[in-house]
Amino acid sequence: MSVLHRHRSLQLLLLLTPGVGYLLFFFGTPLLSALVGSFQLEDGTFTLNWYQCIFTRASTLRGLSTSIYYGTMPVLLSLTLSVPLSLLLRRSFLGRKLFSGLYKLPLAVPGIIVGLMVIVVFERGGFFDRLLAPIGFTLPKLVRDDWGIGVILAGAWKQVPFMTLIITSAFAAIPEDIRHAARSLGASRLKTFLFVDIPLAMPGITAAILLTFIGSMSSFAIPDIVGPPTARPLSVLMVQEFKQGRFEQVYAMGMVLSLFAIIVLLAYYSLTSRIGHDSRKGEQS
Amino acid sequence: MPMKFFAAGALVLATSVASLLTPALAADTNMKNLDIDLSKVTRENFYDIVVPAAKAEGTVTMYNFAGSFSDTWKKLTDSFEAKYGIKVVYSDVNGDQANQQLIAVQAAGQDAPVDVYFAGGGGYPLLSSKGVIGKIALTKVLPNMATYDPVLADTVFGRAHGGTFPLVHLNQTAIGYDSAFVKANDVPKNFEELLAWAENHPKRLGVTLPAKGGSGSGFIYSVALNYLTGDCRKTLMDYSLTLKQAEDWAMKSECLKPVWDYYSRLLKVAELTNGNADTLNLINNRQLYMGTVWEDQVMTFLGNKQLPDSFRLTLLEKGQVGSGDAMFVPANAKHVAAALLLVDLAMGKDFQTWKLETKASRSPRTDITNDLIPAAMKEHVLPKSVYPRLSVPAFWDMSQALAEALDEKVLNQ
Repeated sequence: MSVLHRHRSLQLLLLLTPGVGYLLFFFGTPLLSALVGSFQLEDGTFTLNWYQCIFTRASTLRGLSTSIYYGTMPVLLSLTLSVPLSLLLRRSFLGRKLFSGLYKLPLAVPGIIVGLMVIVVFERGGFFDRLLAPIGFTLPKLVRDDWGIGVILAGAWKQVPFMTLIITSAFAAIPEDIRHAARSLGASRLKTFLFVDIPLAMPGITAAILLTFIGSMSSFAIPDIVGPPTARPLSVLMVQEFKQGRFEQVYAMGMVLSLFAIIVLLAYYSLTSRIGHDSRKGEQS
Repeated sequence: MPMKFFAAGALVLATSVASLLTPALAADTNMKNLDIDLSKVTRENFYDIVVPAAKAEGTVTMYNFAGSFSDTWKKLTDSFEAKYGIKVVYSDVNGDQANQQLIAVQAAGQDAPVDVYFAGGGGYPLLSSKGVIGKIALTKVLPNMATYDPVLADTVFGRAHGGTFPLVHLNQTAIGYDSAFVKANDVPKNFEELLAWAENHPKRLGVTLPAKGGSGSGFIYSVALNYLTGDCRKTLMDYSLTLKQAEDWAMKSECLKPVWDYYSRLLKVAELTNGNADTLNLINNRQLYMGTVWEDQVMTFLGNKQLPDSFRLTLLEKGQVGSGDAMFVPANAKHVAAALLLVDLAMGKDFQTWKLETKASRSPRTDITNDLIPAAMKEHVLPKSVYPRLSVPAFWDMSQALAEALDEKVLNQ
């Protein structure tokens, strides 16, 4: 024990071992194995062939851009809905408790169910289309549409509660005194929101953006069921390759998707550290 | 001298007859756990030898790769248990995973976890190359395979299997249409007429994306068969090609230009769908009037009222792809006799007829035709005028290669 007391680094290492060891074993090992596999042919020799396929084939290049598109658009839509929703939830109104419970329901619905719901309810000739037909309305094409609007709407429907939860917590963490101070110094509600609330809640908002982006970009069920057959994201193409037993190609696609997620993660850290730095500078001045 | 020749001739004749009588089982087999003398089993004495051995084994394990067949196999296994008193341990499995499991078990020299495997017909090249398939010429010794289609008895989609991998269910890709919207005279008879119909009725024809549904990948191969001639057609039908070779050819060959041209025109006016069920769903919603379908899936949808009663099927001239799925006994199966008995019952006339009536699951038995099904049902299956005449065997590796090339050459251009 005395040795441990003397060597603080050893003590830290031992304390971290359960957590870091778990991560290394259950996250690091499969990732490393996939990374190695993505550079190998079936006989184990080194190759860049799988990456070459991704960046030279029209279908996979389109798959990559579609993945980014499906990662970005639901996030933007969710954000425009989640921020006002979070502000609404900060207020007291009749039925707030019930609403606070109900808006989280999509969180419990699996992606595949959302996809099937869209097919049953919003497909042409589906439930809503038949409901609206007698009054002369028809739904726009939401399933298999070229712009993937159905995928974006379904993805946003699923992501809004998650994003709202995080953003609501971020807003709740801002002391009321700061808002009151801004208001007492003459700032309007809008200015208080834009220049006090938003900057202070930014770490929470960016975390919500990051997590929903990664979730949307790698989602499979909704784009597979609802999306256009021509533009399939990498997640859908990966499953297609998996079914053919081309594991090395699957690994390479997974690595490319992971790389994008890591880039977004680094951007997040860079942004949040800058915000933290700026806010500290503000405090000092 | 003449006596010597006579004796030698008699020996040759006797050997030939013996080899004819016990063609399959006398051959060297790769079966690991045999409790019967396979060389003595013929169609005539099959039940005398196999039934006691199967009863002694007491149990048989069956895998089913096709989710839609669970209820079908329930009927089979129930009647098997009732008839022979042998317990069936049944599991629905994912075909790809089960294949890999059997390959791994075979490589390790362990006993197989399954005795009878209902597997996708396209899995034969992989499973046979890994030695998973038991070398028992089922089509030559099972009594219920006496009327088996002679071509399928030895080959599956162009590859010789020697009776070890018999299809027990045949299915057919087709063109399905809602007769409430498509008049009898307007029903296309060939691929050109189909394109013309689609151009006259924009977005009313559904074509399943080949990468996402067998009706689509069957259709693209059928289109290629329709347009390719000469050496191009020979390559298209060269079943000895590996998937990689087929992919390379499909991606580079100029032969396929007519196919890409056809698809380019077709997809301007047709709805590309996300799968077989997606196509049928749009027809049921009355958004599409015609589409690429599987005959047996149509029957299932009709049974569940997911398609209008006015739905009909046809095949296009020069043929459309027919496929099927097989039952085989793995080389390392533990209960071989019971497995043989179960496969035999699956090929029984009653069961095969029932399967046709209820699921439009076609039979490789030549004595089972549309004539055996009720008149009311006949209008919901392919008519005798087109089936089996216009059914051509599938070549799934080539279909997959064409589907991948379509992605690059047409869909993402």
